[in-house]
Amino acid sequence: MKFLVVDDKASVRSTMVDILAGLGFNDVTEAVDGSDAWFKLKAEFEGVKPETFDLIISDMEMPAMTGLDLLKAVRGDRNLKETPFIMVTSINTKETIIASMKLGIKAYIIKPFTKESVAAKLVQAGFLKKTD
Amino acid sequence: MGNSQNLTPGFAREFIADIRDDLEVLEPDLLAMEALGSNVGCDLVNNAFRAVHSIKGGAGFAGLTHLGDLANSMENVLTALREKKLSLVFPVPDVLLAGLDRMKTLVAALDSDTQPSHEREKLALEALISSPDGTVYHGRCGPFLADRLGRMLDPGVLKKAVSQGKLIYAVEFDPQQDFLEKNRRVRELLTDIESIGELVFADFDPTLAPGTLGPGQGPLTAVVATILDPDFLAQVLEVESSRIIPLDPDAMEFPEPSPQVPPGSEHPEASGAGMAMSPLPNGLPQEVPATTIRVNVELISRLMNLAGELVLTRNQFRSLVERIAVQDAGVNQVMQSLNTVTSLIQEDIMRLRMQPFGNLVSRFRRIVRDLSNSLGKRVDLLVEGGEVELDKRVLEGLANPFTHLVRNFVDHGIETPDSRKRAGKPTNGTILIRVGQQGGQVHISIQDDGRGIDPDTIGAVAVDKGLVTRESVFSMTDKEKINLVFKPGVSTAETITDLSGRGVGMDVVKTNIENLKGRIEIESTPGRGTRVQITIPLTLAIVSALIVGTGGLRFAIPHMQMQEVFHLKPGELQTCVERVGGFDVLGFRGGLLPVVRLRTLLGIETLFFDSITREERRERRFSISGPRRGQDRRKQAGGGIFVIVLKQGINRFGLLVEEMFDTEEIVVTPLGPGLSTCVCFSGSTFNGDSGVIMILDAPGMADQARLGFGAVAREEKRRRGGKLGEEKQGLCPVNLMLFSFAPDDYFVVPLASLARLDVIRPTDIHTVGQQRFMDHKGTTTTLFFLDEIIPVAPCEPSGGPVGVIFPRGLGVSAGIVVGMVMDTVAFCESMNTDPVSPDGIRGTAFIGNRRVRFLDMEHISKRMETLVETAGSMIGEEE
Repeated sequence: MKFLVVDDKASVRSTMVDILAGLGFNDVTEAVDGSDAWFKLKAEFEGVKPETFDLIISDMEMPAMTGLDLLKAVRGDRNLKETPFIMVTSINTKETIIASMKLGIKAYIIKPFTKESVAAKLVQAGFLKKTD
Repeated sequence: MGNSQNLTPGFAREFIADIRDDLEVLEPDLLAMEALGSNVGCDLVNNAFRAVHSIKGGAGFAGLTHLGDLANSMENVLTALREKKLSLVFPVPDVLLAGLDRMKTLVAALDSDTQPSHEREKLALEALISSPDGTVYHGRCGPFLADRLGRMLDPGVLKKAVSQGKLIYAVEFDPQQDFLEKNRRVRELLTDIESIGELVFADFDPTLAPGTLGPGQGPLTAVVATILDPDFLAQVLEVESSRIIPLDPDAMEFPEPSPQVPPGSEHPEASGAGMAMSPLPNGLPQEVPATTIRVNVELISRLMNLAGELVLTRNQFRSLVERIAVQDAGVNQVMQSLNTVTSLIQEDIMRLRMQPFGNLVSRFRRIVRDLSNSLGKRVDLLVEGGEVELDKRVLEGLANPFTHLVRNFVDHGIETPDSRKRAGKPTNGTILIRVGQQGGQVHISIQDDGRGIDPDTIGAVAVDKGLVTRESVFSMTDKEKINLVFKPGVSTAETITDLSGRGVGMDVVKTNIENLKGRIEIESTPGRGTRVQITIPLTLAIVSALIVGTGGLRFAIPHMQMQEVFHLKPGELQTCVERVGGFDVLGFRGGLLPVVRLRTLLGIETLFFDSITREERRERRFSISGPRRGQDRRKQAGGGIFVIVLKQGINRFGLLVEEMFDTEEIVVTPLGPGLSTCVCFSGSTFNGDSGVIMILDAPGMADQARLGFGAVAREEKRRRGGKLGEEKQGLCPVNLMLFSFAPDDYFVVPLASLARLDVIRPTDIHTVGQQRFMDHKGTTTTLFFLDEIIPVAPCEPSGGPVGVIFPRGLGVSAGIVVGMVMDTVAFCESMNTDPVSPDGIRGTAFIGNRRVRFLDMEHISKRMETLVETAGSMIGEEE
């Protein structure tokens, strides 16, 4: 399982990466904002194809390219449009919720998140088996 | 004793009695209020208010704090209603009634050591009038919402949503606050819901126009499946997050009865107390401790037995009285009242042990729910006649077999929603349990509208398992085949599931039912459904039975096993009874009824009165049918015969007895171990007149007599215009013509396959070239010798008359010379088919001592047609 974690705050990013590693997901690529993520998803270097990711976990509020922008771009791309997407957010308006739901996300992770809440959402999204 | 112990018991008791009265008054008031809804008048609310207020006061005096607490909450709700701050719409009446039920439970619990909780009802009442501004209340469901929704939601849909990672929420909307004030339309809400998940359920019409929402309207409830967390959902739906109630589908449907119910309560009603909002008909508590007492079941059983003895003694006494009544007519009157009183006592004591069938039903509901959920099926369980009462022992004995049956119906009977849809059935399967009482018997039928049982599959399985022979299955009716599921080891399930399908069970079900002296039968139409019919006695100890006699001995036949009785006049018997497939049968209601003589069955020697020699002689003839030539002396014997039509599973047969006496209530004594091999008897009883009499058992007698139900049923079918093709099965009698072509070479041909039979002299046969002809009524008919058509030994002309047969349905005018016609015989065994038999021969059999060959008329007819055609063309060529 190859994950892409997108957040403009390094602290949040590394927390997420640690939590994911604790849940058994070690192959995690970090992106510092939406455009970095888009670059990692799309750009070809010297004929080398970009990596494909099994799940994108992206923050909502980021400068320049927000999580919603990234989601729109991913869903609009022929090769990427099926990629599962989890949105990480603290505040939200009705409009952004509906917009991201319409574009198709697997789950919302609400900040501040914990290992338990992330695990619960990964279960919800079908990446983890329920253990209870 | 709850909180009342700090008062003198007498003092508290007075208050409690008052409280009971008030509770009695309150219930009809609340129900009337519910019926009137928003139009409720002030008087009614005031009445209810006064009753609750007085309960509150009484509870205070008696020290019943819980009750007072609950009454207080109820009072507050009634106040809100009185002040028109709350409308009397759902869920208000339900919550009020639930409060009332809980108050009753609290009062009932005073007699026991338990103290039920009232928190849930209190919270529910408070939720009704929880509102921030306090001017208008919106009557929210609060803690009752999940209960209520559980009964309305489709568990399949919820399960699917959960498997997709979605969460389930119930959302309560207030029409005033959420729609009218915001000028928001219901349709807009639905669009919002659909953009973030799906609407699983709504208790309002989604196309509702905003104008129809008024301040008087109760809350609207929607159930939404979405991946969102509650806060986000609240944001999208524009409601306070307190209105969003997460539902746990695993925990919510058909909530368990409230655990606060007094444990081990013997009152069947008490278990319903926690399910006040249940739509089940028998869910309403009827707590009346003042009029019921608990009695040890042992004591009741003892009373039952004594009542049985009393009936017995009464019967003995009655036969004594009949003898002396001639001298003193007054005895009769006394006897009569003793009769009545005994019957009443017996009836009432039996009723002590009676419990409604509905008590079993809750168990089935749970099974149906759990099982259908796990199988992804949708099943409605309907029960009619749950109020019919059965003996506790019978009811307990029914629990296991019924559980098994219900499981089987859900597991094997009802199809998945998809295949039901494809079959054009409603997606929800229905299991209908019908209970009815008739006489001393309870009839229970359980049926589904599922896929049914294929009789041939069952037959094949039974043969595979070596339970029946292929031949016997062949001669079975569909109904008999389906009833093979009651044989051990037979299952229809293509796959074995955790719960059923191992072929263990239906035989156990049957044994269980038979232990209750009941009968079980099953019928099924493939594709349409299956029905199991169970008949059991209301009680086991006393049965009503008909006393019959033969050869000077008396026997009892339980009414339960009887269908009807009719009488044949002397001499009528011999003419009515005929033999079919080796069995005696009687034409009966348009069908055939196998009959057996009781004395033959039991090997009882009988005397008959010889009208010629005027002496009693031993009856030597045991066959019933077939009148003798001339006058039958036996027809003077006795006064005719009674035919008692008995039921054995799906079959009926007639038991012939010479004497019939009275109907009596008999007390059944089971057979001792030494007599257990006597299959004809199910027990014995003591009769006032004739001492011990045996109780006959219909299924046992049918087994003992080896009645040929299959053969009789086929004959019946044939007579009703059934197919001639059935003669192939050989078991129903076929009339055959027997002839010998060459000496000692015998043939038979079914009479039914012949159009005509002529017997002619050999000189009538004219030969022209190689063709033979005969004249018949002025026309010339081609004749063939049998050896010209099929490979058989040639005929040696003897000069005597010869037979000519004309096959039925022959396309040309031609006959077959068949040699010497010997006889016509009725043949009811099966013929042997030999794979190497030549064309034109269907098989062989022994009739009398002769080996005969069956002609295949179909083949012969074809061959004759070919021969006539080629002969015609040859003649044409010669010309």
